[in-house]
Amino acid sequence: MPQRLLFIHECFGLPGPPFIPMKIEKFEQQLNISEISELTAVNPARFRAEVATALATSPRVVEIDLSQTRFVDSGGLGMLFALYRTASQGNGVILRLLNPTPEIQQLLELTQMQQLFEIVQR
Amino acid sequence: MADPTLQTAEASFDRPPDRDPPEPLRAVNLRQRREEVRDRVVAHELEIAQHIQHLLLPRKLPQLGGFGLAGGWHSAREVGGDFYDALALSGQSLLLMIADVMGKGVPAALFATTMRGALRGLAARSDDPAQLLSGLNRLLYPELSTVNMFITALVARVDLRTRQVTAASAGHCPPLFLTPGRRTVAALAAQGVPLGVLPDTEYRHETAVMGKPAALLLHTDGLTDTRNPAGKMFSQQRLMAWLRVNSLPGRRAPELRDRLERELTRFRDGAAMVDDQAFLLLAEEGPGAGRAADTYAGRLRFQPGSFLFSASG
Repeated sequence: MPQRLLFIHECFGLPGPPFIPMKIEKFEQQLNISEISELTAVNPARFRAEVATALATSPRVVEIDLSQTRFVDSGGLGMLFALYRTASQGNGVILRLLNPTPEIQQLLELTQMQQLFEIVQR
Repeated sequence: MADPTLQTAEASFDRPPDRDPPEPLRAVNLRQRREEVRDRVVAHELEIAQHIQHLLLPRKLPQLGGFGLAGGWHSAREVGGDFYDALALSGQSLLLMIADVMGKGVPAALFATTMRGALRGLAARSDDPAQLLSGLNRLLYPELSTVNMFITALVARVDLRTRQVTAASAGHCPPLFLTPGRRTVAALAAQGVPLGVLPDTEYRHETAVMGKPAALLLHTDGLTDTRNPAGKMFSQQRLMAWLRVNSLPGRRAPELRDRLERELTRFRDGAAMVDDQAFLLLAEEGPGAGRAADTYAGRLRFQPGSFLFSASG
């Protein structure tokens, strides 16, 4: 069973500002982020803080599953760049983006994200 | 230094009231009034920042024989991170730039202002779009990386005699243009890492030739990501279709600009504007339009949160 580091955030029903729903799990040396409906500018500071907390456990691999992600805007790209900066401070952390939709794949190519992340279809 | 307006307003709080309310209530009232004054001061400073930012957009777009330029800018807040610039180069060519600083508000506007100045300085030494982006990245990377921000930008050089567009992109939306012959619209597939992400980035340019009459649209993602009340996005496909249908011979850039504004407003249908928008339209206007370069007196329309310029007859 994977170790659940953080609970699943729900966009609705929580007090305070809305937050991008996502699931963050850790399997031994690997951090998996999934169930992201939209990667946008909504509350990026909280995203960065929670991912930074998860990264503090020194994973060797970080995988972000974009298969359920319908939309990424410039704020969402900013989160990925921030994740890259944070993770690249550790030695040899592998960053992977999994299963982007064709529209998001186009955006990743436009911004040459493959220079920062492995982009993989599984 | 303390704001004198704030000091004056706060000093007035020290006057003894006519009737003393209970001590806890008085403290709450005083705090509320201080917060109100601070809010007013911040709002006033944002108004000033907005005005300064408007002044930094090109008041007079370059106009070269037979071609017109028009730009539109709307901010989702008082100040924004989208902006454009246009410079006339020697001969019959133009240098166009559009950029989107990640985020909104004052921090984005500060970087937009810095970048505009940096581009103008670099453009005095080179008109190569790829070299300009590499130079901008070298200049801006230290500050952008420190605050975890980045900028997407597109720089295009347009040779009006040959209708050739040479563009380099730092992760920005591709420019759209009318292709020769079949009156279709294509996106120029320039790619690159946004400014401020990697310290040493060399950009590459792509070239394309526009049809006749030429039409070119540089834009930020605030246009394609415009949403209607149902949450549907305007999309690049819809923007390309709009350009194809509306770029008719003889139609001038300001008219195209106004049509695009109306189309975006119609699509949004009252939904809140959540992202900044900027675009720059180049249109071939036919013989006679070039004389406007000599007689151009500027046309400026100001609306809260928006700024529209044109340089056309």
